[in-house]
Parts: sequence; structure tokens; C-alpha cells
Amino acid sequence: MSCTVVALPYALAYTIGAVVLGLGKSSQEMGKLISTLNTETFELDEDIENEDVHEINASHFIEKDFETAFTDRDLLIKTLEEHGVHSITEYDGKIFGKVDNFTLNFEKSSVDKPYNLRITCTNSDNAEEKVQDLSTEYVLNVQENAYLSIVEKLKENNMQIESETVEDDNTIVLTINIE
Amino acid sequence: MSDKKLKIKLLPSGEIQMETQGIKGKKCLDYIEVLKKLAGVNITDTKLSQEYYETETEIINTENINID
Repeated sequence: MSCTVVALPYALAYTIGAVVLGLGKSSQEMGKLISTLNTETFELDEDIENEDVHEINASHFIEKDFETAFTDRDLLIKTLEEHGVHSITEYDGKIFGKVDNFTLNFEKSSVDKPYNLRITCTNSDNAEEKVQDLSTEYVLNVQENAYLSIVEKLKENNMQIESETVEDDNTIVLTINIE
Repeated sequence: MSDKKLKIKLLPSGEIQMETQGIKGKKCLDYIEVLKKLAGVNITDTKLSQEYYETETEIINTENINID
């Protein structure tokens, strides 16, 4: 049996490698199989049918989908980096990353819609908490971005900031003199 | 110092609130456009304060001149 692999992103390669672990392959064999991912075509063992791979994948990995409010690609990348997400890659408008035991896959259904998040993991216990953490950090970045934008445009328009305070709940208050 | 002010609140939820102070009548609505340009935001809600229903009066100091 043969199949064609075309430019697999890192996150997908990670999943396939882990499936091999589930099959009880030795690390040497796994390394050999992963190395074949760099070529256009690789051979699967004859005793491994596609059905087996799907079955094992389904039994070892959990996929959870989340709707998010994230619409800005740059702010999302910044949020992921600040949150310790590593191996951040982009492919075909999708953003992939890994944190803890989660593989993150952000994808928009259309340009004007927010990203949907698919988390792939072996244990989804903290998945909701992780999404909540990312959401909290994302909106803080939205706040920071809005602040920087407003201050810059006030300067451009020679508008004077009379005072600037941060309240206990981290609300930033700008008071601007006009006329 | 001007008694006309804009107070812009950037909430940690990402929401932005703006309040005008000392601007009476419909003029305060003009500053919605200012906020749009400053922050690049969509306006989701507008609330009118008492000042919206007041009119701005201009005080002119005059001298009494006696004309014989």
C-alpha cells in the first residue's frame, strides 16, 4: 500500500508520529517512519490498513472544537507566543501551535468571521481552562492595542491627554481636553 | 483649561466606552465619529445623558453704553 503526503504541516506530522506510538512501534521504527514524511511518498506496513490507523487515532486522541472571539491574526499570534505556545506555524490561513499536551488548530470559516479552535489532545481535562486563559490574554492584548492606537492618534491630532489612570479592575481611563 | 472633555475607558474585556463631559445638545454625538477614528471600532450602543437634552448657551459680556 502507498499513499502520497503533500507538505504536511508540523502539527499533522506530530499526530501521525503519535499514532505510530500507539501501535507499539519502537522508537527506531517510528523515527524511520517520521523521516519518510519528508519525502513525497512513503510505504506503510502491509498489515496496517487505513481503517486501523483511523481507529487507533480515534481511541487515543480527543478533538474538541471551540468557538472563539479571536478575529485578528497578529493579536492571536502575539497572544499565543506570550502564552508559551510553541511550534507556531501557519499554513493555508490556519494557525497551528502546541502547548502542554495540546495541539491547537485555529481556522476561520470565512475572512470576516472569528477563528474556530480545534484542540487535539490525549487528555482534555484542562482544555476549557486553556481556552479561557487564551481568551483572557487575547482581550488584554486587544485592550493594549486599542490604547496604543488611541494614544498615537491623539498625538497625531494634537489632542491633549489631561490624565491617564488605571483602575483596580485594570480599566484604563484617558481624559482628553477638547477645544 | 477646557471644561469640555472626552473620557475614554478601555475595559479589560476589550470593550471601549467613551463619555463626553461639558458638551451639551446633539454636538456630543459628533464625538462618536472621533472615537471611531481614534480606536477603529464599531459602535454597539449609545446612551444619552442629561447633557444631550440641554442646550449650549453662549455668555456674552456686554458693556452698557449710554447714548445721549
